[in-house]
Amino acid sequence: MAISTGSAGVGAVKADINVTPMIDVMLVLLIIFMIVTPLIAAGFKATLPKGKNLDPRPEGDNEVVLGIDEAGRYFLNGRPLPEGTLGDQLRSIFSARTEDKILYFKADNHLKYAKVQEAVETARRSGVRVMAAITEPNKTGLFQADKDKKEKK
Amino acid sequence: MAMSTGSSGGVQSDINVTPMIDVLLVLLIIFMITQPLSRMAMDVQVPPPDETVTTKTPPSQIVLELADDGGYAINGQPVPKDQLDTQIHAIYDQRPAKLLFIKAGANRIYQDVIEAMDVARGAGVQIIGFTPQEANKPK
Repeated sequence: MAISTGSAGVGAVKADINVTPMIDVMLVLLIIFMIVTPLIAAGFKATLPKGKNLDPRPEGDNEVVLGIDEAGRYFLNGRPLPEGTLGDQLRSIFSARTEDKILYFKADNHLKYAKVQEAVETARRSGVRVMAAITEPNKTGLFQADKDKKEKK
Repeated sequence: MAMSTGSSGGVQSDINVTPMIDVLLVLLIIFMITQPLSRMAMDVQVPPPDETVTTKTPPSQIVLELADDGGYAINGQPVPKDQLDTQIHAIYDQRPAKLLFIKAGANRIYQDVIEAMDVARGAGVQIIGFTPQEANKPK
């Protein structure tokens, strides 16, 4: 007969779907949601201001991030702070901190400056020396280059 | 055709998606890693905690004011917004100390303050400082 060796085994129809890639994707999605959910649950909602001349500030492990959301509520490292406790919290963090006195500052762009000033005042009395105002780049480099080209034409 | 090369018998009718998923996963991981690295910020010096030191200001320092009515002023002289860049350039090109103080009215929006700092940094200012609250009160 024409049936050669081996071909019978390979030609057998596989009836079940290969679910391994699907499970991979599901697991990654699960991990993403596990990371993102606490941030959403904290209720921090703010649009960051935009700027052009910025310094890269990669996120590190041991840093202090102060957020002020649209409603003017304070968030320290992602957790909402009760009214009036910001100074004490910052003082206890920065008095024990030896590496740097940088406070990362993430505030909504429509906030009144009075609110920001209040935070600055509290921070400087609590031992903060530098505030890094987290800002979103106005236009990303690639798109900016495209735009410049279009404008030249 | 590509089908004829198989020669092992059964025709595979579905697309092999495994390599595509591999690539997508790697892309996902790359974006997850680069996302925290792409954070941008502007450093601002905070006034020192003891207030007595800050009340005396040396005459050579430059203060950019954002008035409550929406105007801008450098050391008390009003400057239109579109001339801020050239004005700051003119001042700081000759100065060795690239230090600027920002003083904003309570009703100004944070975005305006950031924009002003942005313009200043673009015009050659290297260190920006916030002024203490006492300095912002009308005398």
